Amino acid sequence: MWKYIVKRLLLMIPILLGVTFIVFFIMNLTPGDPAAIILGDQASAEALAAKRIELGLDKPLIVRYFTYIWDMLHGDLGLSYKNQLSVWDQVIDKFPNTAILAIAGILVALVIGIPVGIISAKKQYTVLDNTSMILSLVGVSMPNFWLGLLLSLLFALKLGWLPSQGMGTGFVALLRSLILPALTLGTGSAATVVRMTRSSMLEVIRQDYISTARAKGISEKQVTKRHMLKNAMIPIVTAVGLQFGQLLGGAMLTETVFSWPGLGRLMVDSINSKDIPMVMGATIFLAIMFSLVNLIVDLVYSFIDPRIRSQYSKAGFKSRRIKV
Amino acid sequence: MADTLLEIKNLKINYETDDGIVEAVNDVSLRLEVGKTLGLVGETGAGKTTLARSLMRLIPSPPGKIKSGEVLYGGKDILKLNEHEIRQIRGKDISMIFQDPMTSLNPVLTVGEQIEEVIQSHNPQMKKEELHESAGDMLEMVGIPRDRAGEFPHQFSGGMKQRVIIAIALACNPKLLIADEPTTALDVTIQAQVLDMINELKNKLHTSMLLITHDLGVVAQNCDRVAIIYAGEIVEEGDLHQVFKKTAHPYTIGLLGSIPSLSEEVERLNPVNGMMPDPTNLPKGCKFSPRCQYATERCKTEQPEIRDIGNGHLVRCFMKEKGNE
Repeated sequence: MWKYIVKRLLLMIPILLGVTFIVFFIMNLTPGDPAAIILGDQASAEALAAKRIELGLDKPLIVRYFTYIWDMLHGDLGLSYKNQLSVWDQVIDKFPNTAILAIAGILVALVIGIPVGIISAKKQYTVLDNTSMILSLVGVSMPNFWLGLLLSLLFALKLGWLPSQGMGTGFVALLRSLILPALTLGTGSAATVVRMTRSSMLEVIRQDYISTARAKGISEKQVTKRHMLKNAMIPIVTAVGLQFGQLLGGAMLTETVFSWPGLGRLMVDSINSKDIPMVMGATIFLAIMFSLVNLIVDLVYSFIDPRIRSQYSKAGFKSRRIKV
Repeated sequence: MADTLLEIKNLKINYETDDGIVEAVNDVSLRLEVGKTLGLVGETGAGKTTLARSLMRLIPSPPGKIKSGEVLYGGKDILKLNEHEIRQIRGKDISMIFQDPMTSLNPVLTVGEQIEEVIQSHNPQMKKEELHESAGDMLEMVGIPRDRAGEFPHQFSGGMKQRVIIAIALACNPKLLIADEPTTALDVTIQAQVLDMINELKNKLHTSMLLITHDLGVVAQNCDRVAIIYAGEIVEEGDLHQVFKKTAHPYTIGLLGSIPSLSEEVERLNPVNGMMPDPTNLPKGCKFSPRCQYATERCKTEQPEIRDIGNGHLVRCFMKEKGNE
């Protein structure tokens, strides 16, 4: 198992190199001079040239790329062009806010998604199933920012129940300010989780071992929980993991709509001001998070499915059950 | 005559699909005696499994629907029991061995847990250690070392899995064991082992058995009585001697004729010609008439009743009507 984890961690290196390569070149090949953005329109040509040399922009692109990688390997993600603060510090400062939002969003997705998916599968082709399938289609199709706007229009402006902007301080205020963004973020994921839960339950529901379980005389609840859900879990965990990764990185729109002080908004601002080190740093950080979430998902598989577990441990036939 | 354990009366089961209504089981009546084995023989799609599952009310619904009939067990109609009552019977009074051992065990639970589960559901007062103990006993009874209880189904071979399934089925000492083609998915040497084991345990535990198969050799070795089912109807029923030696129905004759003989030199086998009729569009009259070499005009329009031609030998064929013999 440890060997597997180390292998997966090593595999992250080429992934991160790929990510840095793509983001670095996209950012540098788009038009706009960072020096001009930093110094403003009024800056003289000499000042601009001096600034470019200071930022290292006079060197060829490929040299700059390798300089960047070299610094990154030494734990230095550089300074923000905009405010000359450490990129790493700013990312670390904003990340917890994004994590809170993503966790809240995925909780919404789980609490709605899994039960609705199970019911939908067990009552396939009934009114209940059709309704939830239509709703989840709407949920998947609805753009996040649009839903966010609608929700704040209703609950913040019309009813005045909840704040629509910013992140509250203190537990209660935080929770109150979290509700709308979390709902916005969670709805799309919930819809995906519903569909995944339903389809993976439907694959399991007609399996022979379900008949075996029923023939034992155990209750339908037990059959659903122990026999169906446990076997249906792998695709569900995959979907939830991917959704969580997306929520971590893709909360930009939601964070912007709700002025949530997270990584997503930091990235949007940085992209607008062509703050290359900031965008790079945030992207690399999110890529690492995404890979870690995926690794965790793959490890969770082995707790769910003994067949995968024995593959990981390579111990073959003699492996005994790991107590979870 | 021995005591009746379970009696099926005029059972009729349909599958209602978009393509039409499939009459899977049609007016079947059978009687199972205490301690005896009844063989149910028929081609694929004849309704064997549907009939077997209906005894435990395990027919997937929709599309399956029990239209009419009774399944009397201990004076009660199983088909009328509520969910709670039927669960008391499943696994405890009646249990079932399914066709394919490869897919009949839950891949994510240990075999021990799967055996414990059935014991626990009918003995909720038992402690964890006791459950462990009796699951281990069951494994040993089917010839698997008890320390393999912590292993998962994928660590067992097909024959071993079928043993585990047998252990699950017999764990609560059922009065009736339904074995739905228990050996079809196994290779021949393992088939014999598994059947011997089922028989041995059945005699030890005084269990009655409904053995479903399409292998007449298996029937000859294991059963006391045989029922031949064709297109959802019983066409012939009797004890071994009656069905094998005084064969009366043309379909049974055809089945027996299609077994290769070891002792006689035969040029070609005599298969039953034709195919099973489309279950959504069964022929009028006798269901077997399109394939029957003795079929008359009457067979094609009129449905023969099943009748006793002596000593409980039942046949559904006009040829065996009095006066036609």
